Amino acid sequence: MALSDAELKELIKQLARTVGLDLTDDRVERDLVAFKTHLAAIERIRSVALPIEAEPFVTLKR
Amino acid sequence: MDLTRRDFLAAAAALPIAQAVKPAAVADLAYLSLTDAAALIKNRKLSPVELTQAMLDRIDRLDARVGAFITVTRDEALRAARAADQEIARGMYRGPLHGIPFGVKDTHYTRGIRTTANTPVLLDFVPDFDATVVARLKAAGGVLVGKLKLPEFSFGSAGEGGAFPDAKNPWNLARTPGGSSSGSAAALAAGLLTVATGGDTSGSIRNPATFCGVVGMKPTYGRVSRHGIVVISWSLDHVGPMTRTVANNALLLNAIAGHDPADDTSSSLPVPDYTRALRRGVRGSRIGIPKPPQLDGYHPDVVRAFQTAIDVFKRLGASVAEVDLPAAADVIDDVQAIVRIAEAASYHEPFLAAKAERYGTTNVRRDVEAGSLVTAVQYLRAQKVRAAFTTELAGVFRPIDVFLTPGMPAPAGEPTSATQPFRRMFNACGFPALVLPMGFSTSPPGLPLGLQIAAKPFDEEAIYAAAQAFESATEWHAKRPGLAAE
Repeated sequence: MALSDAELKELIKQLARTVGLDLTDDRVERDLVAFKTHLAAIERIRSVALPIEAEPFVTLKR
Repeated sequence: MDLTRRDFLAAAAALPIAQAVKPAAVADLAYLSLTDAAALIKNRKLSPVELTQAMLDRIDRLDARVGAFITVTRDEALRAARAADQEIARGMYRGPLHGIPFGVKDTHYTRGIRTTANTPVLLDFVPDFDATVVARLKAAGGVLVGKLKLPEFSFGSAGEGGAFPDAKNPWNLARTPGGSSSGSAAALAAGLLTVATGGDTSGSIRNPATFCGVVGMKPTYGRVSRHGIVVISWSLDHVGPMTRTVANNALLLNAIAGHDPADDTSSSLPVPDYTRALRRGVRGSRIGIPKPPQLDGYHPDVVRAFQTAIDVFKRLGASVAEVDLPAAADVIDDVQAIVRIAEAASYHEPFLAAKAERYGTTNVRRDVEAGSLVTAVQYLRAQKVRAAFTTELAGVFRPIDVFLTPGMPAPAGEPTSATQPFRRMFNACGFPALVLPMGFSTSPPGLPLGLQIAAKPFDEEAIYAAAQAFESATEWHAKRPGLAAE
């Protein structure tokens, strides 16, 4: 996902509004590095192939 | 040297009830193991009041430098110690924790005592109930001495910017104690408590236990109740015992483990007596270790100490073999990070809505604001990889009894380029993992190194058997930091 920092900051601002966060430009600037870290992690997770039957939860058994 | 359970019971039965004798030197009391203190208290050779006062006096002398405590519950501690003394004098002995000073991480709710999580957001928060873990320790007769330091909201391993200054590493006060159960580990290493509890979401019991040279157990997810604990991430949070010896750790887990109706994620599996595993030994045990490339980037002292630890297990009669971890081990830290931050953001939603300006100067607010933007599909994708990894890892662990790794890739405060720290993966899968001392660094000198022992779900007994065997064959746990004015 090759978005520029300016595009990412706009994305953060608008996405935050959808979850009830009205972020100032200063907060968006501060949050950008964490947002990019999360996106990078999400991309690496997406690289793992999963069958369509994969489920998101597992119960621990002795 | 710790008494075995058999020795303890034999001594308790053989000795007459005696008058309290002059207590040992304060420094000796400070580093008494739980088992030794319990034997002395039961046989009226030491009073809970003497032990608790010794701890409080030592806290007064040393904690200004170590910074392990946020709140010292002095009056409550002495009241509880006197009550324990009176009960024991009347023959109402509750067990090995009766009259024993303990501390809890300041995420554990304590009724009537502030629970701050080291954040200005919760600086005035006084719960009206005890966390289940706290209640169980009190019911066992334990004496709550105080609430222990952590980074703001338990985020990260250490760092300034919360409501209170960071704790220091008693082995080198210029070094981090690790975290996030920083104060718990530092207090134990400095002899300010007999036992403590911590919380582990990304390694937060095992990291500081390694850096401070103590024993920390992250039990199986669901083995210990999370009720009444300030949350980071519901599906990753674990609560566990922190002590100076393996035997003490097993005793403490006995007291706090078990189903809790107030925590639906707590397991209904019966709780065994973990101390019974301590005499098992490792002869014939099958031990798995990582393949050498997975230790790339580890500090040379850690690699050397880890190899020496492996040799100890071989001498004790265990077989050791390298194992292949699931391929998803390469992304499991990313998986844990996304699950953690999405769940943390949900927990923080009311704080962000009403108290956003009260956060400290750490990265917590930044991280949970960004975490609020993780989508449900992204979160569930991470959960699917997590589930697949957990199922595969169960297969890897099937032919082995325990899996060994270093506790941390480098000593406290030293840089590392390691890509696989074997830490978050055990939060992601929920398997139990313990760290105990395995040596000291030479470059820089004198910093503790830790050995991590992991096992299958609900097989803490295999861990305790291996850990006790290793501890008995080595001297690392008996070393003390050279704090002045002891």
